[in-house]
Amino acid sequence: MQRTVGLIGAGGIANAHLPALLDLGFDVVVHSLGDDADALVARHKGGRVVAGLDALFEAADLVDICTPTTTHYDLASRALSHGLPTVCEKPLTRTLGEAEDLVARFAEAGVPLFPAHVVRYFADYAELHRAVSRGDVGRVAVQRHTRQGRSPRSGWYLDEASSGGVLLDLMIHDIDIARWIGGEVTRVFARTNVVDGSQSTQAFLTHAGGSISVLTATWTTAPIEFRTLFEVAGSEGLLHGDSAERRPFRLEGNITPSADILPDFSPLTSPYRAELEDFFGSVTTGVTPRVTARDGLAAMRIADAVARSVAGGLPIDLEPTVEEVPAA
Amino acid sequence: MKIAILSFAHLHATEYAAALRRCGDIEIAACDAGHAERPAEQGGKALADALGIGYFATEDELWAWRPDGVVICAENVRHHELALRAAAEGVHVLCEKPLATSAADAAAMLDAARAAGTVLMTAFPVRFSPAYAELRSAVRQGALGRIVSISATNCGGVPTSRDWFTDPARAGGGALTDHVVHVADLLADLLNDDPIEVYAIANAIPTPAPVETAGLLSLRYRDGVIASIDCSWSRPPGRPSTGDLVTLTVVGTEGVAEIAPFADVLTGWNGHGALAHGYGAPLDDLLIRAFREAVRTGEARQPDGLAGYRTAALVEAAYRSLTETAPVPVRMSQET
Repeated sequence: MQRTVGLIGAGGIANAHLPALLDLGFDVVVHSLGDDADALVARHKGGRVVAGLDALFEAADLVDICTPTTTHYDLASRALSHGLPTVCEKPLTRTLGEAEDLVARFAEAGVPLFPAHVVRYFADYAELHRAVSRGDVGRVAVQRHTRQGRSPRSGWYLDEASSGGVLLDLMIHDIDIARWIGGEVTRVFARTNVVDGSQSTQAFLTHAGGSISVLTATWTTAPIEFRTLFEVAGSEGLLHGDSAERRPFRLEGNITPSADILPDFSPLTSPYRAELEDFFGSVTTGVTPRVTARDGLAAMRIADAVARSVAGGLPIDLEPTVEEVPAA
Repeated sequence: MKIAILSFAHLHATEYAAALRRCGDIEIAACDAGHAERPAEQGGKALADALGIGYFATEDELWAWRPDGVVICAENVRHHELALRAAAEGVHVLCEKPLATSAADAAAMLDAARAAGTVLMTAFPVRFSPAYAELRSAVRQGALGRIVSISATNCGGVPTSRDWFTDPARAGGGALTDHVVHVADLLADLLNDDPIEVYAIANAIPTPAPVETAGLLSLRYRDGVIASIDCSWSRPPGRPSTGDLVTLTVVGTEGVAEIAPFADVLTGWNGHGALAHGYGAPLDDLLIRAFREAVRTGEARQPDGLAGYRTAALVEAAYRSLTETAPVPVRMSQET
């Protein structure tokens, strides 16, 4: 039986989720807090716009929240009140307290909540995790993860209070990846520098097994291409990835770069499709997905420690929590 | 001009010997008296003969030869004593990095050279990299706008050709001692400033050793600029050069610049495996030529002893941070 997904939001990330949901065979109803839902549905030639949230929750079997960060908590709470399994864009919530509350209430109700840490579904990072799990680098010793791009030029991302800035928008991805690869984090130290519309955060993590990581997230007003890099070194070897280095396609010349922040959809390579298939598939099969609510909460705990370290200038010790699952 | 090489403990001595020979106008001799204690390693008179340079069995004989300058390539902890002797002998010094294993030792070396009127230089060949010169010029011209952050790396393998690198009594430390200073020197020169605070974390996972083999530093400057340094010995043995021994990424409000001074590598493969041949600028020759000019004129060239001191003070603070598991202030007793 075809299931219906209630997609909330019609901005950047909804443009990646909607074609994936359609390709996966879902019926999709869309509601946006803005006025962009019609355009989204028209662009992807699928989905139906519904008038309000009540109509969306009424029609939906599953919920996919693709809205600005500060709205996640309320929207997810409403989805929970309807007992609907919910995908929530990262970061799970704007504050750690909200994330703890949300994860606890979903768990209590036995309703699945999926934080959309999509980088685990990007082929290069998935391959990195497979290789490290296989033992290619031996025992992990040092990780470097870098994520840099042009500062957002408009919208809610620019507002630190709404987006959490470069930390919650960009670094949260590498926080999740570093923990996925290196295990639980016991100590965090971080610095941020903001110069006009540009900012960098550098975070230094100590993992439970003694390995160390440095994460760098940057938004610059300079017109640079978005880029991700990683290096994972261990007792037996080293793995390295750079989105600017291994490019199956390269074009230079008299071209106007596309304004889209996301690449065109392909069912074979879309990490968003793989993520949504894993999440919504697990609702049916009961198989634990690659990223769980606990992972999303752990990422928020580390991000919160990064923010506190930046504010106080001191390292923050993280106590392991009983419900924490060991990293792969 | 007569230049002596003091010890083959650091294998860079062989590069410097070759560069000195290429100058064509220098009498070169070496003393590697310490070789008796590490007979299994390459060194002593046999190595001097192979390099085509003179040899003295004892350091006293070498001083008696009255060299105009010495290149100190002894174990790190001996740099201090040898530089003080050179100053006492009125001899100019190019000292392998790190200049010293403590800020106090480095300061004493600077003071001794100043008092004697001799030159003290630190062997930071990367400073001569054309890539670095371009970066410096781009930054100075404002091409990057205001600097936001810098990420620096100097990652190699665990040194295996010499035992002393992983012996704290002779090296003074591990990866932090060995690999922070090159990029710290570039940062100091590039920003024309020293960090005011450092935080460090380290482990010995890549290769269990009595010293740290992996390390990360976090720096903060008074104008708000932040920087990270990865100084890990994290390259597994047998890895072909991929040209990333040293890297610097500078993020500015108007641009992002990256350098990899050793990226000039011809890569390929044959039936025996991967091929990797560097063809970058001859940094050791440029360093040795700068030292030769310093000896000829009696005036220090960059990178000087002060450059070595600044980096030694930073490394000392990084070790303090490791002990205190907290960020610590970086203090310079010398005027920088």
